[in-house]
Amino acid sequence: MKVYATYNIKGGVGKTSAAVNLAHLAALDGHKVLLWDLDPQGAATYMFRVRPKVKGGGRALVEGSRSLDDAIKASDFDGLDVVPADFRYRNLDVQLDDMKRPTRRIRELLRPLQTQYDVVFLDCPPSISLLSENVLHAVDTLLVPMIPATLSVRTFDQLTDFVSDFEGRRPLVQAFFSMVDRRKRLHCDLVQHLSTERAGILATAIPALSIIEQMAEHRAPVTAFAPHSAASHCYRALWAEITGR
Amino acid sequence: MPVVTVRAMHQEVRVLDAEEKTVARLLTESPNDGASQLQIQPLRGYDAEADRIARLLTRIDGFSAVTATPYDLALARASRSPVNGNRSSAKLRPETSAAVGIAEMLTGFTAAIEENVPGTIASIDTEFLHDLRVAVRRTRSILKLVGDVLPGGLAERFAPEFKWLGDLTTPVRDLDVYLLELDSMAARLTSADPQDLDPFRSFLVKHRGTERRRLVRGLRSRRFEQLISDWRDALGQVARDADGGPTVAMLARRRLMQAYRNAARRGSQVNETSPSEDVHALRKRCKELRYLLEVFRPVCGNTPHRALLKELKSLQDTLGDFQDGEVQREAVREFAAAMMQQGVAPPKTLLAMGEMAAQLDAHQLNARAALAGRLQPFLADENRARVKALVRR
Repeated sequence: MKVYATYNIKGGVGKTSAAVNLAHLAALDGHKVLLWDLDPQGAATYMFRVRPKVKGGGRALVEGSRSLDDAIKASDFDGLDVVPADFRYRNLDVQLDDMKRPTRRIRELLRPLQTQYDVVFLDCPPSISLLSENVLHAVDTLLVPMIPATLSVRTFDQLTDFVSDFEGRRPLVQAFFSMVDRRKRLHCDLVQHLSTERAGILATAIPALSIIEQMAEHRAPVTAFAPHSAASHCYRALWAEITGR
Repeated sequence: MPVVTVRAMHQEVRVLDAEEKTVARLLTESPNDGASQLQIQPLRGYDAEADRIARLLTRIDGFSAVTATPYDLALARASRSPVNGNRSSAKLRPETSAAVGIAEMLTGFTAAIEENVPGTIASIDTEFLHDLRVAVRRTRSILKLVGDVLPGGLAERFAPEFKWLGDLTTPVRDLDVYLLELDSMAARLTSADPQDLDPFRSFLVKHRGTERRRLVRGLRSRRFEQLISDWRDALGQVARDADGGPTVAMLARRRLMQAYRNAARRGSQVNETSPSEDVHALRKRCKELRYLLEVFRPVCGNTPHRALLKELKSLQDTLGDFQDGEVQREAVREFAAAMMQQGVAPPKTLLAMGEMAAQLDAHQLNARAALAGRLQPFLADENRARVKALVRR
């Protein structure tokens, strides 16, 4: 089971779009895929038309009175299941803090699913918190969507530094540019330079396209409702680069 | 061999909730002559919705709940009734003489071999050959593991003949497996097009034709006929003559412990970096233990038997993945070489086969990584205690 998370401290950078589309592409590859929407805003849950409710909320999961297994809902797509968001996830930080090993809880919750799923995506809320630290300890690969701006790159460096201080298991951090506006010179320059110069930044970039925004209208991955669009093409290229093909 | 063919129309409809999310699928199946059936397929996490659909449907006139599957309906029209392929060990009793018990069991396997010969020759379904092979393999394992309780050196006398029979059936089964799996392997290709493998498929089909002729010749041969009739006679003799010797329970207790010890010893020597041969040796020991557990099931306590079998199965699955990855990868290479030689291998086909081999390689690596995790529970002290308590006193 390979665990990915889409994560950035900033919001509105294309995390959910990436998680939803990449999860769909992974399922199309024939993998058994689980997407866990950890963001109380529940955007990924909404895209899959699942009700944003988990019995007992985040507390039941954190405290172990319910297993993650009970919360799983099938999506409309073969091989792709969803753990929906719950507005009560906003309290996850406080609940995690009461645990014995507060930074390893998400990983423990995923462990029993190892034989059921090949690929897991965690869609994380934008913040730096105990929950995000949990996620960092749970994943094999951290996918960081970034808007091309000098400050984003600085944040990416902070994140890599933070992760490299981990003892033992460390996730691979892979950033990619997202919401790239081809009309902005700065965007194009940064994308071109950084992906070649810096380790950990992928060559594939996701442009700012209105069809990606339309996902919320269609309530489906763009790779499902517009498989031949430029956006789908980019996500396929990104997934291929991430999986090293 | 009678074959029943059923033709039916299938239709799939999705049931949506207020959010237009699919909560269940309804499958209708209408056989050409017969009543249509509607099946509710719940989606994970939506069981309550599926129950509600079922309740609503039963209130509609003309719908009634059924328990018969389309298979049952087809069966009702067949001119023969199915046999339980697993009846072999049902009669084993703890206090019977081991020689008699084992001979009866082997007679059961022989019947299974014979039953599957016509279907194999007629090539109705690949399962006939598979079941035939299972019965042969069980026979050979029993001869190897407990054959020494049979009098008159029976085991040594017949083992080579059953090896011949096993070897006779291997090539066709291997090719069946490749052909059955080819579609799913082709679908996993990423750089090559699945159609690139078409020449490979044709090659396998042609090759299978040749091997099948050899197999059919073997199953119709005097040698096979003689083997089965001599074997039946010999086993009948054992059942009539034998008295004394160890009982089934004594034999079961001793051999299960021994088999577990052998497997555990091998297991404790294997880790993530062990050479493939060591992993294969472990796989063989596990298989032997599995056979004994199946054979002696009737004299074992349910709880320890189930627990031990569960641990063993999960270990065997991983070992199986490991072995399959290696064997199939080597086979793909050999097939590629043979296709080159015969001039039937376009470059794109070879490239696709190369990618397939690489995926099999990755598959094996995954299995290797998973091995340690599977071994641990199998080797745990708990399991040793389970084996000790296995055979009911």
